[in-house]
Amino acid sequence: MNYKQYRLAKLAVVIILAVIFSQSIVRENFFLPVIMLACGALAMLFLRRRLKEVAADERDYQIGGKAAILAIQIYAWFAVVAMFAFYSQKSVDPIFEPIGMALAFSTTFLLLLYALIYRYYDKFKFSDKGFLYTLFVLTFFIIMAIAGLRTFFTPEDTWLCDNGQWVKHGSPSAPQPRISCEEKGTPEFVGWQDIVGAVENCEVAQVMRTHAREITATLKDRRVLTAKEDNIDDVFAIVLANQAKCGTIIMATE
Amino acid sequence: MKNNIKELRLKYNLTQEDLAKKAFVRRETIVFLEQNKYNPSLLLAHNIAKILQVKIDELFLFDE
Repeated sequence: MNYKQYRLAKLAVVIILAVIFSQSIVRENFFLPVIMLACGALAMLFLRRRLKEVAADERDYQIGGKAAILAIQIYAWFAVVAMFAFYSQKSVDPIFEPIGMALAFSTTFLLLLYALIYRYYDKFKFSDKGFLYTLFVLTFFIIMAIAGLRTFFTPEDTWLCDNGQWVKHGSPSAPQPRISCEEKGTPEFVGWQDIVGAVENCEVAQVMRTHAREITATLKDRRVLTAKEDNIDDVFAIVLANQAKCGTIIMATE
Repeated sequence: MKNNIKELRLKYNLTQEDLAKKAFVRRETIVFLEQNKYNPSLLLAHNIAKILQVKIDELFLFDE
């Protein structure tokens, strides 16, 4: 295989992966892209071995290093400015807060990773990539394990009603509910359209959305309805569309 | 830093592609080297000097 054929094959793999990723997001299947990513990496490895020509030499690596540093600097500046902008506007839309936090954490992680890899190259052999790959895989699995354990063993971050008082359970990002917790009824599982109808009929006092798109609507008659919204942020769009008619409806999200 | 890569390459009737293959680099790297737009590593300089059968200091001319 020559370099031109290799580049065409690489482009084809990237296009296929992009199509699968976009379809997976639309269909909310997040298992398939992980598998396809691994398959794509294996395909690239296979193609690289079939290539008889030099795909990258020392000049490419030099340019790559400079481009990577510049890209990190640009991203870090952009992310920090965007993070402050999103965080300062969290009162406008609660979704801005997690976006700002995600930018802050991703930038910190990127800079830490860069410092770690720089330290490695500064201290160890340039040609020995085995240690670097091991470190990367190990770090990835440790992060995944911590995230997984947290999901399994940490109770969900929320507000719980304990003897008539709202008590923090974990670190809920939503503010403390304004209604008395004694008044809060047992959730009633309904269809999404029932909640839409309740909002449109001005029966809803407050809505709460979890990351899993589960909506808890507390009605003015103290009943609590629970359903799953069709698309992310549907509930906020419906609430905002009806606020002129119904007055303020409290909105909260995880 | 200047170099005689182009002259020596033509002396041996080598194309840029041939020299690149022998030196295990991409053709673009040879182009940049001949245009004095890239300073090679010591290893690449050694490889090219060996292919063109000259010493490194005969191949690369340093401005002092």
